[in-house]
Amino acid sequence: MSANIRCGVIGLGKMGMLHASLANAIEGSQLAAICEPNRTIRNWFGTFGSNIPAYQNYEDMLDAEPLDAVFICTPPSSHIQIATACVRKGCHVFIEKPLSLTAEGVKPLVELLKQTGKIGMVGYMMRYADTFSKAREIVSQGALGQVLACRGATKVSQNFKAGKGWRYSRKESGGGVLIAQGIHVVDLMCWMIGMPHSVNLRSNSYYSKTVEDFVQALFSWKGDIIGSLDSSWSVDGHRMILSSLEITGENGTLAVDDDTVRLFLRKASGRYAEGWTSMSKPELSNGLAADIGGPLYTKQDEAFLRAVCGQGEIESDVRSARSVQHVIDCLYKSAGENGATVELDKEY
Amino acid sequence: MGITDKLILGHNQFFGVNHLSSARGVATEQYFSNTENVISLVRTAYRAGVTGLMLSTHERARAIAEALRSDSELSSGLHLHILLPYMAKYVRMANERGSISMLEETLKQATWAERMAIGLKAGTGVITKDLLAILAALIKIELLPFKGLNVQSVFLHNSLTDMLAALRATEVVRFFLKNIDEEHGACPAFCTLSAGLTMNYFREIGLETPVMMAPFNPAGFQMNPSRERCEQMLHEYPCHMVAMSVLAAGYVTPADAARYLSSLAGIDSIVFGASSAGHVTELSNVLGTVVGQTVTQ
Repeated sequence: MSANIRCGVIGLGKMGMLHASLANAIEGSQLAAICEPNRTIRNWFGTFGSNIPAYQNYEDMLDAEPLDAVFICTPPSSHIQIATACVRKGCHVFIEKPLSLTAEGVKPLVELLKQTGKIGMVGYMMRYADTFSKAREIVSQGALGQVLACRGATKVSQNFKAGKGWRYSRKESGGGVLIAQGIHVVDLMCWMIGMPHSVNLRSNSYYSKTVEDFVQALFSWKGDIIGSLDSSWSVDGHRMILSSLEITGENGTLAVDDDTVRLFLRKASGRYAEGWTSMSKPELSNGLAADIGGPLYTKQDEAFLRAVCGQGEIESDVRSARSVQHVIDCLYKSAGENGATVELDKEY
Repeated sequence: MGITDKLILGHNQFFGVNHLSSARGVATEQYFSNTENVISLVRTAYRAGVTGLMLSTHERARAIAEALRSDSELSSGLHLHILLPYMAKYVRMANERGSISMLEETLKQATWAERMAIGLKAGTGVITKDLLAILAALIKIELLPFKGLNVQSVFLHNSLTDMLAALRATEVVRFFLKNIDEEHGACPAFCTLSAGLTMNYFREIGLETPVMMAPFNPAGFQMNPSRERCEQMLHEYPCHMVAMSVLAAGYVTPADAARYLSSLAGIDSIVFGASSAGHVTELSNVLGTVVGQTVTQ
């Protein structure tokens, strides 16, 4: 990228700090302003960010600063309103996931982005993990033949008592482990297999009380493809989030997680031989401008900033994230109806 | 004061970190959840000439530090290199409670005696303090378990080093250098996974011969932005370089790693992980040749 993209970041939690750092580390862009309502955090950032202007509210930042792109890292309940204001001011937007609390109310933003030609990306960064991106390539090339079933999981040892803050307020976060972590695997399933036509969900809120800690979801796709998701942030033995997906087709099985891709094929397909093929991170990875929170975040932000310059495509836009949000809405609806089957709206 | 150890035993295997397989990492962590197994491996390494031990400020490091303290051979001869903070803990706490509550909770975790030692007064709100005062208190808390042991250096975790470099937070970098040296009598050092960016920034702000830890391996794994650029920085910018990820998470053989590292001028020390006595002996032999370490078995 040769351009000098001026970036703003709204919300300086851990994701905001990460995007602020990456915006400054990636060639062709710079962190030009930040917005954070909490005065203490703004003051702390002054120690970090030397002369970067810091604003208390985003309207003031958008009025005062000529920005090309804005990273929106606030709680999900505020995403659509802030993104709409940014696009109206002529900015491209990157919105942290989840896109919103529900899919309802997202459509005007989709329309606005279409009318203005601005980029609207959503932070489903797992699409940029080397292993999952390779897995998608394998599925898209048809190596597995007709897909029959898939099983996904996310696990982390994180919550063993009631948490504090917006993440545990359903009104602000939209829910618990499903919308915070399981949603990444739901997004990967939609990306690799397509939108399901019906879903079921059972959940348990033992520790957090206000939001769910354990979920088990079922998915059905056209053509009798079935799938499941097992997600929890309250299991032992996982210091980091482990995400995994296993997809079985007529011609074999693909098992992928954050570290490896393992493929078993009954018959060779394209460049993949019959039998087992295994690929690990060192052989799939390549150089990055910087690795601050993990390579996938750098790749994601590079893709966004390249797209802002009119170079290349983004993997996760507001439209596809709205569809994922609808799947989540239907899953929560099912949980509220004791696990009853909920059909998805074809509009998504 | 600098780092005198040529070979340093890494800690990832003790805490379940495995960049090739998280599942394998969990299995190794189970074995090393018995502190005696940790000490046994550290002793084997020490007797094979691995005079340094890297320890992150993981929850379990306190038990390991206690065991080292009561071992006369290791407590007198082994040097500790502390990597702080243990990021996974803070990320988890920030997810659980938000950034400010996370800091308040962390500072509350100190015992009464620790709070006195740090100078935290009862009822003093964390949020009223300036960032550097909070960082000073956090560093003290993180280092408390290692008091009385031979702490030779303190490395800043790569996520923070690289964030400081990206944001060009020179005031914080200089604070860390001064604080570790003057308050803790150890050598301040920086771990990085963005060697090109960070070393270039350090050079621009005029840091002279900083102590760095960065990946160097023939696969180019984690060598950012590229293997070539990292090699060039190593060549151009004088620093004490501790090579890490030398086996690229097990993707390259020890012999290939040693051949590659020997071809580079400027690797002063090597940190490596191993999970068995046989493995640690083999690696200390093979990698020791790179840094001119004589095996003392």
